[in-house]
Amino acid sequence: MARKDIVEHEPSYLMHQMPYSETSQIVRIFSQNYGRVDLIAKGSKRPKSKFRSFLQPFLPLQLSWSGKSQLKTLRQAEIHGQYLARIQGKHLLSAYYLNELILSFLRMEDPYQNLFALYASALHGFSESNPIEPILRQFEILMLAEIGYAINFETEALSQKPIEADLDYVFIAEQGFVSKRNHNSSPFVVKGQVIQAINQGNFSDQETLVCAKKILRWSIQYHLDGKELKSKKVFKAIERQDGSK
Amino acid sequence: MKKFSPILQDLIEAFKQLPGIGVKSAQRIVFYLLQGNTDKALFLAETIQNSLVSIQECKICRMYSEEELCEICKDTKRDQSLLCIVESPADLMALENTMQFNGRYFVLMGHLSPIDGIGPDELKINQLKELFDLNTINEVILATSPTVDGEATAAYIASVAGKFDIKATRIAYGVPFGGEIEYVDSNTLIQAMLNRNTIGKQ
Ligand SMILES: [Zn+2]
Repeated sequence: MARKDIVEHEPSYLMHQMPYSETSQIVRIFSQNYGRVDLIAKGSKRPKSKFRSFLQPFLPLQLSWSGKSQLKTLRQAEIHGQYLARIQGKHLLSAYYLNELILSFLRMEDPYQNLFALYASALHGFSESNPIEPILRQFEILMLAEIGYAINFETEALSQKPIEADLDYVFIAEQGFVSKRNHNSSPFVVKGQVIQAINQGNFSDQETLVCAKKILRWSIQYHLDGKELKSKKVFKAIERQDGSK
Repeated sequence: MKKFSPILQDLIEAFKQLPGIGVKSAQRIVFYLLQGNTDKALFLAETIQNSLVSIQECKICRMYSEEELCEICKDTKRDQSLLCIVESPADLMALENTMQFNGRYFVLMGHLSPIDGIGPDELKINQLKELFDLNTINEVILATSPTVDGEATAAYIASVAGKFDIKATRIAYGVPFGGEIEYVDSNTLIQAMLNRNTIGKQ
């Protein structure tokens, strides 16, 4: 897509905002056709700013902006599309986690239309209190694929032989699945049928969910290259508090 | 070429960092203080110095205080059964200035913000739990901001209060009082519709 100086009414979600000056903010957004963009919202911290009530995460927004540099200027913000029921509790924490993944992994000003659509439907799922884990796994799998780190759930790494339902495999983050026969020492064994279920997006089985969670955690950790996701840290702290009363 | 000598330049810079003050205002303040108002300048310097040494967080509510307990927490006439949770000292002052609330406060010094790594530890939820554990509080009023982060904070603290069998309420929000519906932005209107109150027959 050609770079344009003016973008109008672009479907977007706000990922995060941070103060820029006493009265302005930088808003980091994920848009349908332009991907990750950073905007400056001038005067958005003033009590009477027209942006004020719109610049919130998880709202379906339509934004207009202008500018050639990396930091564009927000011109207009409005609500677009159906308003979702409020996302609550662990679903809300999961939504923040998706935002942090997007901020950590997506390249600036590169469109990720499929991921955008999946993000919108993930928020919808969270607002309806649907089971969290399948939503997160689907998002993580597509995100890794879209940024060029696709996990190959179809064939064995190196040999390229198709994954077979009744064989056992070992997952290695930098390679993929390899036959267990060559890796006897690995403690984490995945059944071929589980890999096939993940590939079909079928998370109805508990074993599939547990394995998918481990595979994606390792994969994402590997690609984060030592960086820690802050939302995960907060998530753990909340769980610790829940446990202690 | 520098306009001012280094110390003068530093002083102007120091004022420029304050909220609401630009270069022009900073220069005006500096020249005012230096032009025969050195007593005022000295007073300013001393009070800033003193406050930095002596002001700390109140042991109970985290409001700024120069003693272990702030004026509100020391005041035995205040209702011990009501606790209002706010994000900042400025929010506490705003509520206090209405003179309608006679309970006590807890200042979070922020709000839940997972992407910034701000969670229960940073907001000192353990200190809040100690208050809940005293068994004197009947109701927690959640006066955090009407934002997604503020809502998340309120919901989280409400769930903690629930474990202590303490009722949690949320301040209402929506159409500003004295405003006209026509001029209220759509998002605020949606919130007002979602959070409506019964006024007639139940
Ligand atoms: Zn106090």
